[in-house]
Amino acid sequence: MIFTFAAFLFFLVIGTPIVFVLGIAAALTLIFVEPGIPLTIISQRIFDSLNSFTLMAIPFFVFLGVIMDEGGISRRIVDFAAALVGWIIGSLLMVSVFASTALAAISGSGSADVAAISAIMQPELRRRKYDIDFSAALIAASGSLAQIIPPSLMMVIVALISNLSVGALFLAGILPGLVTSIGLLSCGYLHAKRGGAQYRETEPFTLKRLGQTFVRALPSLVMPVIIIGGIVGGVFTPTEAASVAVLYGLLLSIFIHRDLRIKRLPGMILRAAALASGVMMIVGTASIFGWLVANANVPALLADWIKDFTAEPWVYLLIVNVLLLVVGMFMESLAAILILVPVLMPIAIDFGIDPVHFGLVVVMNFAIGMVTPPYGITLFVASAIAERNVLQVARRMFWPWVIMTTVLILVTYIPEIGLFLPRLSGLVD
Amino acid sequence: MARLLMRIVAGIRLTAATIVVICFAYMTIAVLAQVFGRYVFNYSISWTEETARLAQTWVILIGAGITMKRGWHVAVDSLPEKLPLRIARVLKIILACGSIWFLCLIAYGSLALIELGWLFEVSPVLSIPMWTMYLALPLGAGYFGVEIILSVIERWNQPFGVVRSPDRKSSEPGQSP
Repeated sequence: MIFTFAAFLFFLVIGTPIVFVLGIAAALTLIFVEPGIPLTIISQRIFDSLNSFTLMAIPFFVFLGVIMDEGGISRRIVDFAAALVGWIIGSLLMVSVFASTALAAISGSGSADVAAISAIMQPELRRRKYDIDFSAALIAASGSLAQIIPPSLMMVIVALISNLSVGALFLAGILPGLVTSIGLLSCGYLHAKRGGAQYRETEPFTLKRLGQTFVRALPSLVMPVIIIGGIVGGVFTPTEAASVAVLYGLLLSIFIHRDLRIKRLPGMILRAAALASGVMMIVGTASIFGWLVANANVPALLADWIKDFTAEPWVYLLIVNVLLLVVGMFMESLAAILILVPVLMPIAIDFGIDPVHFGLVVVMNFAIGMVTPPYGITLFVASAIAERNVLQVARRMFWPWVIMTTVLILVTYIPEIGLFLPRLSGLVD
Repeated sequence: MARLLMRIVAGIRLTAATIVVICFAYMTIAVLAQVFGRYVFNYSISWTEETARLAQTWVILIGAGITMKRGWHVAVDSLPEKLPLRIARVLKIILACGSIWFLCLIAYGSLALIELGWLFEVSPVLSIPMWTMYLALPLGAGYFGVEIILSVIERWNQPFGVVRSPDRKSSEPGQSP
């Protein structure tokens, strides 16, 4: 195991694409540590993980992200956010966080939201001389809300591998997501308050503009009702909901917004396929890793070790939080979930922790992992579109990170924050 | 010679893109048909899920090469970005060899699966021979390998880091949920 992780870290820092970091480390382990296992297991595991109906939610949600971007959905949400919160000090920051929160309720993929919001907001942030590094950090942080606020791909996967109700986990994410969003809004506000005159230049609030932008954004804002309502109500599976959202988004963009020409569809599909493939190949090679971990009997060993170490659920939760925050810095989040949740969830249940609560804690940890360097996907996207170096942006990530971590601690030790809504709807006892 | 190679590459790329777009479109339509079949026509179609999964394996495995072509396979390259150009080039070639070695393992392992699938396995609902699915593994790995070699050539003068291009979208890094 130590050999495997050493190989993993080595290939990661020398710039190997993550798919191959995971794949090569697993292959070397098979050859040198477990020579008895046939190498065919590599192809078999990759194939099995791609041959999954639940994971099909990934390409669909990615496609939805592309449609949101090119079909004018993101644009209308940003306009609505500008009318609603644009009058507050630090208006562009407020608008970015608010729009990210709204997009998070449509999209299941954080980097799609960050890409959309950054592309719209960055030129304006630059023109009005906002602190670009801080803005990019704040946008990256609010983009990771996509995984906390439903629909969320991480939640779909956590629910899949631990046999939980996706609906319960979705509902559990709503309040923590909103609390994080309020935290990030305050973070932006305080930054603006201490900043120069450029942050005080705001847009006047008018009811007329609010009404107009609301009407234009309304068809897009209906989308979460379809997706989340459909899944929680048991009307369709997450994959089916995602496909319906794709259809709705396409019809909306083509016939109502009229921003999208049908002849552009093949190009958009190709873009979605390339993006989805990048994620799912990682999921595929991670599953070889996951198989190795299970095969080396790590879950049982770790369970014994932890139970010798402590009998207190709160200590276990603390260990898990520290572990996942560190893992989130280095690992692609879906891959890490596939490897670690099968190990950690049974132990949590032994400790009497509610599985939905535990699933939420895992998701929030990896949402933070999306903004922490060296490997943080929303951080990468936000910096790239801001045309800034990742490390410069990461330096300004401190306060957003503190806020997200504070919410994580609150959710970890006050389970009611997460479990209130699922209980209310009878999905959790 | 070089021109012939370029034409072959263009042909491969076009074929891959066509396969991916058709399979992705099919996958979406199949899942939608499943939903509408159940709720609108009150009739459950049994084979949509199976064929959609078949299409998905093709989309992802062939699509991996396209992801490579666009430079969207995410890597942590802040360290190698700082290396002098010559060393960076050598490192890039070593990484490409390592990656291709792994792809060869995938292709090698898939041969056994295809053989098995050829002789015995069929899908549960439609009895589609399983080799039609497994075949995407070696083909996808092969195309991925071609794109890796091309990326070493195309990025000879800047092996690591984000390419700054006037077109914003093509410089956008890969996306993960």
